[in-house]
Amino acid sequence: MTTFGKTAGLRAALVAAGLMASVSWAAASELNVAMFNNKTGLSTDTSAIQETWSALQQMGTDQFLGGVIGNFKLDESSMIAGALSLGVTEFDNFLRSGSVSSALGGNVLDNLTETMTGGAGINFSDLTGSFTSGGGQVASVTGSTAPTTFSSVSGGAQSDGACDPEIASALVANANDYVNQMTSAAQSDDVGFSQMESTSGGGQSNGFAGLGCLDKLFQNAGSDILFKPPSLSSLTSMLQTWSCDKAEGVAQQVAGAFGGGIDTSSLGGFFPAETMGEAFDGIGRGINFSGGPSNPFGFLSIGGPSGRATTLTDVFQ
Amino acid sequence: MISFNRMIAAIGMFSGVVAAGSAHAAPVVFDDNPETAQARIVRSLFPGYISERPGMVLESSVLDLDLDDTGEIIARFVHSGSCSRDMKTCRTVVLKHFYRGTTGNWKIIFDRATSAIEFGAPQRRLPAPITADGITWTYTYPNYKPTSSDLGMPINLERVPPQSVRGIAGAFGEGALKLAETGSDRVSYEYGAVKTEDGNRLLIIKQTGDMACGDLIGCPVRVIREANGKWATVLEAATVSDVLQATAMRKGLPDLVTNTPNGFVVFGWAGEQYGIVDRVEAVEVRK
Repeated sequence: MTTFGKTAGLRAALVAAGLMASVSWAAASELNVAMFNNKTGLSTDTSAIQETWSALQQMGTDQFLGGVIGNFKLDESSMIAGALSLGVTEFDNFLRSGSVSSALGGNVLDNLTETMTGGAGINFSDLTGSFTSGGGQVASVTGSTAPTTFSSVSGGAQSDGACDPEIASALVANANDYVNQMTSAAQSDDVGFSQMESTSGGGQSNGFAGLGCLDKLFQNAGSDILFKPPSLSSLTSMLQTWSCDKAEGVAQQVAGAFGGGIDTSSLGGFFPAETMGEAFDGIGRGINFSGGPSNPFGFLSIGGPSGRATTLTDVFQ
Repeated sequence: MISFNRMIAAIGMFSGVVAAGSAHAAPVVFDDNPETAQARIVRSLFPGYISERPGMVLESSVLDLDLDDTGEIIARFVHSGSCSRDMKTCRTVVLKHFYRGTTGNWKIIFDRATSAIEFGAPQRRLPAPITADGITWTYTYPNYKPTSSDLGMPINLERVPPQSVRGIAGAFGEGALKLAETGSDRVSYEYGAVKTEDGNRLLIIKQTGDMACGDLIGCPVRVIREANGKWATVLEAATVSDVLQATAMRKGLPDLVTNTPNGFVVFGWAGEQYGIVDRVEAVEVRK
């Protein structure tokens, strides 16, 4: 055989091998889709799965990949099943809020549980570009291993959406009044903490008297701290300048929560890609609500690519 | 009036067929005799439900709703735990016998609290349509499903102009807004206006597109209302087809009806938000 003949033969063999590989790949995808449809009761195809995953990525919903609801771990196939069941934007809302509108009916979360748990564990890496090991049963937060549904582990499974704003405002006003009353009682000259501090001579290092200076610190920060905590930068600035021995201890705790070496002047960029409301001066959200004894109704644990996660309780301990 | 042709003797309590009367567009005549064949069948299907309500009066009737010479059982549970306070609206079920080879079993194909139930004429061996408290139920295997078409008119929806999509996508959540900001056409929007008597504008917005709608709920819907110069979302729902504007009005705003995979939901204005007035859905037929 001539060299040309050998090359042509080799080329043909390579083309044939490539064709067989692509056919094999397509067959595997079709097989997985068939399995997915059978397990979820949905009727979809490779194109729809790719489009759905792409939409989830565009919305940022894929940040919940690897997250946990009860004992159920989200993977690509279960998230695609959820998105096809609710629609991509409603599924995104469900993962972000942990609930669905009550207008959708009481069985929606039960049906969604069945669909997502059925669709979990199927390898769509050739369509999505990744594969996450997930699945499992949605167990109750009480520790029982009996399978249950998203409606029982999400806390408020049904968002009301129908609360009269006037009633809501009245409730908030009542709550504010109660807090103000408690604050006034604590600060009263007869029975409040200030009385305890003055009788102790202002030098005790433990008990309520020792916290008297912190109480005054937060007074300056605004008596509505429970509803609008000061920003972290202003709080740590105050801690560092306040002449109060307990404040120094708190400042060390806050600094320790971030691995030490806190720089108050650069707090605005501490987590540049995440927001956490006023506590972080409008920087990004990286909330970790992992379930546990201190947070039994924790909904979702975000295991993002950076692994960053913190909790508000770390800040205000 | 459709005349009844043959009587078929009961074979057994669980697999037998029951002597049937004719289907007709008239109120059902119930028999409260607990020893009839149909009453025994109903008691066998609802043992726990009946035993938990001592003193219950079980009213039953048999009609051949699909002219297959096999009667369907209509039963009404009369008890304070099954009826409204005035004892006029009580749980009512329709049972149909499904054959499997030489045997079969009875299944519940209609289950709802009603004050009045009537059956229409069967067509092409389909069970006759039901009218229960003004709502029409038609049979599509394996159960009766309610139709909302009598409740109002579909709201005419038009496509939202592309330049306005970002302005309304936020009502559907953070994900929808992100999609809109990227210019993605995976999700599109339609809108329609609703006439109100209170002078404030009310808009229905519905997501459309293959990515927007889900098998379990249909297509997301938001109702937004303008008051004091501001727009607020007053209803978050979904529909598998149209959104209807009903004739009933509450505090100046009309009732709205959305269609679910198994029936429909009626929403009424509660003053600040729309709330659920009634959910009318088909019973789940267990395999």
